[in-house]
Amino acid sequence: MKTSILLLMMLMSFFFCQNKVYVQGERLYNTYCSNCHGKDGMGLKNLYPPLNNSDYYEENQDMIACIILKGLEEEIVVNGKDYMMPMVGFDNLTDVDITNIINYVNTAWDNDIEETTIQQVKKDLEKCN
Amino acid sequence: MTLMKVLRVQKNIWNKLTYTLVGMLILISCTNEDKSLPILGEKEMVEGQEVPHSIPDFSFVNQDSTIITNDQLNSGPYVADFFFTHCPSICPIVTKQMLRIHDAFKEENLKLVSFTMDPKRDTPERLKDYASKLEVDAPKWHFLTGDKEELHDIATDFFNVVIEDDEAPGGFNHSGKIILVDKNRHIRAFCEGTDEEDVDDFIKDIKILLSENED
Ligand code: HEC
Repeated sequence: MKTSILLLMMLMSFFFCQNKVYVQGERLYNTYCSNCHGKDGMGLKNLYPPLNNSDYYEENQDMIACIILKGLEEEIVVNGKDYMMPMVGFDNLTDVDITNIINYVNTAWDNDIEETTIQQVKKDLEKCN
Repeated sequence: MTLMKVLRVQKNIWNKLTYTLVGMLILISCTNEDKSLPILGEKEMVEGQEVPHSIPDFSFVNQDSTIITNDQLNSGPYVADFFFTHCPSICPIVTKQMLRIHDAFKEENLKLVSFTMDPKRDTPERLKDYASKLEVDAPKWHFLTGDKEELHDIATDFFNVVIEDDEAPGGFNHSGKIILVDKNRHIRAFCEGTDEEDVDDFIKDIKILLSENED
């Protein structure tokens, strides 16, 4: 009897955990990114670009790790709108943190972008300028 | 019945009456509380007389390089916050809530005022750029810059103790409060600009003040 309850609980926790794979990434996102990009990833007017349904984000997957680490200060076009506000980088984040954040964003909200790996992030980070 | 008994019964009735009266008073005062906002802040002594706290004179420049003093703002109430365009931490959240207030009172006689805490970088040109990215204009929403000392003094006066602190994100340690000032320069309400529910209540306070001014 006891073992079957235990088994049932393990099975349930397995299914519940499946739903939210990037809990760590979500926590980091809400700490470091949501102030500007919003908990919903929608950004704010023409000040802060969206990360949800962002063509720029989807097309520049190999640059996202560098943007997070080093920031970004150039005119960019996201979904047809110009953005030009400096974003300060987060050099306190580790490669693992960055991977978790990217994977959270890639699968959050309406996003359905292929997930990345720590090896890929490390490779991307070598190309930062 | 003995005299003592009569007295005791009477005392009982009196007790009940007093309780009812006190209860009614509390009820009345509670319902009144919804209808008008208190004047906040320590009372000041002016020429030996106690007067309510009020915002002192100031003179700053807005995003269109127009000089803005208290007089320009006091045709009606305004809400104020403190921010800077480079702020990496809480200001963007507060700005988002200020925008909510802006949109909720578009047609009403309410202004918004954002004082920069980083006047060195936040020139009128930079504030203009920021305002246009938010798609808002003066005179509905002023972004003010000017003398650093004067800005810090006014912030302190607005309940906000602003301390320059290199440890805090962006180099400034300041609070994210949004403050409601009436046309007589009195602070009537404030909220945490990072707390959406607190801002919901604050929006109700603004409505109360606006209906007061209509009389
Ligand atoms: C202080 C506000 C702020 C914070 C915090 C912030 N960003 Fe940004 N972010 C910006 C701004 C502003 C831009 C536009 C930069 C430009 O114009 O050069 C931007 C651009 C981006 C872009 C490229 C544009 C797009 O929409 O795809 C990505 C990706 C991005 N940020 C991710 C992040 C992530 C991930 C975090 C958290 C680790 C984060 N940002 C934290 C303000 C911020």
